[in-house]
Amino acid sequence: MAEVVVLLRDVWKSYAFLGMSINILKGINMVAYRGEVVGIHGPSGSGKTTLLRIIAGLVRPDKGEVIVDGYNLNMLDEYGLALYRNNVCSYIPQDFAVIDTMTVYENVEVPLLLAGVDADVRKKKVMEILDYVGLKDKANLRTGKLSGGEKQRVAIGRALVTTPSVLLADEPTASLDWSNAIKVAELFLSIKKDFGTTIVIVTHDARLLEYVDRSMSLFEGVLKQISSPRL
Amino acid sequence: MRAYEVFKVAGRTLITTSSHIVLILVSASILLLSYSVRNSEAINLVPLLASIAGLTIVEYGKYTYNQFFYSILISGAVPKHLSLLKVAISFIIALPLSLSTIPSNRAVIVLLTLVLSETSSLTLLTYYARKVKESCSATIV
Repeated sequence: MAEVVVLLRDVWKSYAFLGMSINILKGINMVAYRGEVVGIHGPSGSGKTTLLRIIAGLVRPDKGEVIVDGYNLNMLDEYGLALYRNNVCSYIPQDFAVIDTMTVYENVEVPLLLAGVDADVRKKKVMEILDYVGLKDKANLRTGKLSGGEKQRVAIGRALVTTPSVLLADEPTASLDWSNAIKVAELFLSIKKDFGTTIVIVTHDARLLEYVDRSMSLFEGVLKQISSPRL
Repeated sequence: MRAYEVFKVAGRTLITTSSHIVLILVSASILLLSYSVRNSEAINLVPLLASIAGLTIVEYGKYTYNQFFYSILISGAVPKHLSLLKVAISFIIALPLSLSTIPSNRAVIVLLTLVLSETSSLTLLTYYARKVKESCSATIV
């Protein structure tokens, strides 16, 4: 039986807006299995990014339980969540959040520096990952000089360098043309195969769902499964 | 995870940040200004001008600061360390500006520049760090 890696139980989140409380997520229940690629599809404002940030340990839910690879996020303090983001669950934001003034190599090295990994090990790991994402020959280029697709791969490399159990991608193809989007989708499938990583992708582009094992829809804060696991 | 690692990453980033290339140019200008008006009443305006220059430097580098804060946050930095970083970055900006007023030969001008630049840079950096916080709606930052 497949191992559950991401488990959300009755997760609620609301934000205050003009003195009113607006429910963004309404009782989300979700599971993702080890080595599975899950796609969550929904229009803008449906709560996709908030859901991803809750799983990433960047936002705390108002109510409900989030358990990722055995870690109950409700039980972790900010130090625990920082370690969790460093070791267990990597997040790729929509705008990639790569530092333009640093080189490709330095950007990918950041999580390892934060983890206090030795210089030799860092160098080996970063070069391996850069080779994997196809950026080895651009290691010394500043990321500000790269195309959107290449920046996306830097962000994927940075997310992958600590070999997390879970990878979260927020609209990974939103700023790419379709040919680059296919390359990114295929890279996620390779990551799943080569590293056994559980990948959760949120997207408004329904075409991307062809590349996932299981898809769900999120509409007005309610999550529904729209295809069964292929595991 | 120690603050030391965060500062190591910060050092690498900020030294190469274009805003700090600007800082050198701004400091040189303040130094020249401070030297040329050292014997006039206009010297009293130098701390104010230096703090406005400090604000301009932070404003110029805001994209990098936001990228930097967000990148280390999602990569595993403890949010508390962002506060320490803001103080350190504003000090990196305030100190050269303050030192460039030494030709005024007045300790009060040097000190006032340090305090004004530090305060104004810190205020603006706090604003940008808060934007990062809002961007991930993080109750943890």
